[in-house]
Amino acid sequence: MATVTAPEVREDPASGETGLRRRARSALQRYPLPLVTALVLAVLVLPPLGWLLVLSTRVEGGGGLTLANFATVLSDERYLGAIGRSLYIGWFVGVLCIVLSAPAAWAVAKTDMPGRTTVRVLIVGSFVLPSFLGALAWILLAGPNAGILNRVYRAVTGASSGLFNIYTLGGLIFVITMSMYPLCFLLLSTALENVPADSEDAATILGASGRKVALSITIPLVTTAVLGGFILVFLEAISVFGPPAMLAIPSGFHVITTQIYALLQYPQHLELAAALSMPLLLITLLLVWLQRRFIGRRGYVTVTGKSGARRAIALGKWKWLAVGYCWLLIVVSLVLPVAVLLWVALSKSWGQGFGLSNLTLDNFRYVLFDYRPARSALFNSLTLAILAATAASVLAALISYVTSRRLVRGHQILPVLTMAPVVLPGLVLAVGLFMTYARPPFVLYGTIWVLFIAFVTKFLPYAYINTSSAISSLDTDLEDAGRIMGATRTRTLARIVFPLMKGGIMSAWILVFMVSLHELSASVLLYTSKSRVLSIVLLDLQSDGRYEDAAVVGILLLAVTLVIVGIGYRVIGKDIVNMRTN
Amino acid sequence: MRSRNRRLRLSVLLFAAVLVAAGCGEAAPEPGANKVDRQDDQLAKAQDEGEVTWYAGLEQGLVDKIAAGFEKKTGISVDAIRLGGEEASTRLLQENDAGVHLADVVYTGNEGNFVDFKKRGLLAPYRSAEVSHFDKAYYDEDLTYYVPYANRFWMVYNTNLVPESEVPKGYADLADPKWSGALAISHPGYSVGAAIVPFFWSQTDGLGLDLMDKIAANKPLINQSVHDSMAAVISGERKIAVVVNDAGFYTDGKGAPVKAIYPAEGVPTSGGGVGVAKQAPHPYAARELLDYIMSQEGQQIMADESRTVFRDDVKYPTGYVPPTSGDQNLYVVDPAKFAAEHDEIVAHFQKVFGV
Repeated sequence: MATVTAPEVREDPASGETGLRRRARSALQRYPLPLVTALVLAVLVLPPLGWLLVLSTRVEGGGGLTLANFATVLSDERYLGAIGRSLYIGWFVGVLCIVLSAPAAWAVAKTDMPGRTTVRVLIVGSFVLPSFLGALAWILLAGPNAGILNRVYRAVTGASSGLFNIYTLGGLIFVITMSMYPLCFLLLSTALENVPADSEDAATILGASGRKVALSITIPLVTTAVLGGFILVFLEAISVFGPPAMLAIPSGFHVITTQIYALLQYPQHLELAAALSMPLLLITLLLVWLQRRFIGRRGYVTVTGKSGARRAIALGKWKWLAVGYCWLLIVVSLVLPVAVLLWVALSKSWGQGFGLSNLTLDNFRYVLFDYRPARSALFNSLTLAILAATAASVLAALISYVTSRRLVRGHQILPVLTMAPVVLPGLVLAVGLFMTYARPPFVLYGTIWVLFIAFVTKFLPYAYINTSSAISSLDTDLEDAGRIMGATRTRTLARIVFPLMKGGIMSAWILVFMVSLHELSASVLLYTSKSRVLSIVLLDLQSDGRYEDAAVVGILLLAVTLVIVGIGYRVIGKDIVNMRTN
Repeated sequence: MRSRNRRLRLSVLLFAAVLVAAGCGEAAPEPGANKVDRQDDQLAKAQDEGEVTWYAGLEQGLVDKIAAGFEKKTGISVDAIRLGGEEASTRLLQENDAGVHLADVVYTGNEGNFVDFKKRGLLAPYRSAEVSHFDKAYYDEDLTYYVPYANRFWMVYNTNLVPESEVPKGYADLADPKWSGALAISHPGYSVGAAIVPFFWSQTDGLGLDLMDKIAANKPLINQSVHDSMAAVISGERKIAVVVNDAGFYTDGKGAPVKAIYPAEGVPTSGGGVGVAKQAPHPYAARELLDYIMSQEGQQIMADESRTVFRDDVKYPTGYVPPTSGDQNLYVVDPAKFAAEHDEIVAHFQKVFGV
C-alpha cells in the first residue's frame, strides 16, 4: 500500500507567510519532485483503496459501519469456495510453470542443444498471446465435444467421447499455465546463464559428480529465480480475469475475480464486492512482502558473479529429447493456439469441418469494415496503449534518473512509491477506480481517462524496472563532462542521459504498450459505451457465440502486437527478449 | 530553481483542473426538449445533434441493419451499443447513479425492465408519430415505452446428434439423466430470456423452479447469451439448447443442422421494450430513432429477420413460423409479475448452478 509520509518541515520564523500555505510552499521547495510524484501516486492509488475500505465496511445500501460483509465473505460457502479455488489454481499454476519451464530453461542456458536461440525467442515470444486469447483458442481446441483435438481423436480412434475437457478446473489451470510459464522460463534461463561457470568448474575439478554440481552449486544459485518466478506467477494466476470468465462460468464455478465481477452485475452488491476484494489484496501484499524480504529488492534476476566463458554441457544422444521437449512446449503454447485462431477466423462456421468450402474472408471484412464497435475499440485501444506507454515510460525514466543520481532530498521514497501499485491486482484496482470515478466529485467513468489512470497506475512499476536497470548501468562521467562544458541539467538530460537510456526507455514503452493493449481485468469493469477496447469486444463476441469474429479480433490484436514488438526488436536488438515484467 | 518550482506548482494545479473539468463534462439537455408530443422541427434539431446513442439489447446483425437504415434516412449517426438485456439495465441504472448520462434510446427484450425503468423515472414520455399503427396493448398508457416485437422461447437440438425418436417433448424431459453433458443453458443474470423460461416453469403445474435443480444435475454448459447456447449446439459442443428465442434460432441457425422443439408445456412469449431515456444527451435524435424503430421500415427490417412484430403492414419471409401456428402452445408472460419474480429466479439459478 502506498502510504505517503510527508517529510517533516521545520517552522521558519523569518518568513512572513503563515500556516499551511507557507509550510506547503516550503516543503515543495525542498522536496519538489518527490512531493509531486507522491502527490500524483497518492491521487492515483489512495482514492481507490479508500473507497474499497469504506464500502467494504459499510452496511449494504449505505448507513452505518459493519463487519458483516467480511463475515458473509468468510462464511458463505460460495465466496469461500471462490477464494479456495483461486488459491488452488495459483498454487498449481506456480508449481507447473516452474516444473515445465525448468528443463527448457536449463537446455537453453546450459547445453549445446541445437536451435537454442530460436527456442528462446519463441518461448519468450509467446508473451504476445494474452491469456484470454489462449482461453479462446483452447475452447476451440479442447471443448469436450466440438473441440478440434477431440474431433480428430474421435475420428482417428473411433472412440465415442473426446480426450480433453477444457471446461474443468484442470482445464483452467492448464490454460493459465500455458500463458504464464514463459515468465518463469525467462527468469530461470537468465539466472542459469548467470551462474558462474568457474564455480561449477571448480566443483567438477574437485571431483564432484555432475549431479553433485547441480545440487550444490547450480540449484542453490537459481533458487531465488525459482521462488521469484513462483510468486510472480501465483499472483498473476489468482488475479487473472479472462480465462476464468471464459472457462469457469460455463463450467459452473467461480474464482475470486469472476465472483467479484458477478457481484457488480445487476442487482449490484458493491459492499460485498469490496469485501471480497480484500482477501485478494491481502494475499498479494503478503506475497510481495515475502518476496521483498527473502529475495531482495532488486528484482528476481539478481544472481551476480563474473561468469567465465560459457561452457555448454554436451547432451550427446539426449540432444533430441531436449529438442523434442522444447518444441512440444512451443507447439502447445504458441503454434496450436495461433493456428486454430487463424483457421477459425477464416471459417464460415467453425463447427462445420475442415473443408476448403468452409473458408472465407467475410469475417475479416465484417469485423474491419462493418462491425462498428471494432473500429472504435481499435482506435481506443491504440490511443490508450500509446498514451499509457508514453506516460509510464517518461515518468519512470525521470524517476529513475532522479533516484539514481540522488538529485533531490527525499529521493529514497520514490522507488517505494513507484512500485507500490504492484500490490494491487488489476480487478481490485478497477473496483476501487470504479467506486472512485463513477460518483461525484470526479466523474471520469464514461471516458477513456479512467482506463488511462488504471493502465498507468498498474503498469508504472513495469516501466520503472526497465528504466532503472538501464540507468544503473550508465556511468556518470559523460554527464559530468556535459555539465563541466556548461550544459544545463535539462540539456544534459535531453542530449546525453536519455539517448544513452534509449534502450531501457524503449523496452519500457513497448512492454507497457503491449500489456495495455492486452489489458482485460480492469477494462471489463471500467469500459462504457464510449470507451470500449479490443479485449472487451473480443469477450463480447465470444459471449455471443460468435467465435469466428472473436478470432478475427484476436488475430488483429496479435498483428498489432507483433508489429510493435518487431519494430522494437529492430531498434533495440535482441535485448527486447530480456524485458522484465516485474 | 525558483522558476522550476513555479512550473511544478503550475502542473499540479493543471492536473487538479483537468480532474475537476472532467467532473462537470456532461451538459443537461435543453429544457424544451422533453415534450411529449412530436415537435415540427424535431428532425432538424436531431440533425443538429448529429448522433444518437442506442443501448441495444438485441443481436448485432439486427442492430447493424436498423442503424444503417436510420442513418440513411436521417443522416444522424448511430452509436449502437449491443448489450445483453440485463447488462443494458445494469449499465443504465449504474450510470444514472453516477450521474453519467450516455444513453439516448434503450431497448431490451424484456418489457419488465421498462416497468422498472418507468417506476424509477428513467424514461421520457413521448407520443411517437407511429402510435396510431399499434394496438393499445403494445405501448405504455403513459407513453414511456413501446413494444417493438415479441420473443418466443423454445428449445433447439442438433439434428446430427439427436435422432428424431429421442428428441425431448418438453421441458420436463430435460431432467432425464441421459442428457447429462448434452445441454447448454443461458445465465439469467445476463440474458433476459434465460430468466423468462424458468419464470414460465415456476408458473406451470408439474414443472416449478425445481426443474432448474434437475437440469443442473445434468451439468449443462452455462452460457451468457441465447446466441452462445445456439453456437454450442451448431458446433456440436452440446446437443440441446434449453433457451433459444426467435432471434437466436432464425438468425444464427440459418443453414445449420438444427431444429426447433416447441415444448409440450408451452412456448413462453414476452414483449420487448424501447423508450427514450429521460436524461438523453441527444433528446431529439433519440425521439427520431424511436420513431424509426416503430415505423413500417423499421418493423419490416425485424420481420425480415423473423421477429414477431405488431404492425399489420409487414410481411414475413418464408420459413418463419408465426405464433398462430398450431403446435405452439403460447404462454404470454405478464411483465409486471415477471419483474417481481426476476431477482429470485436469478438468485435460485446462482445457488443451483454455483455461478
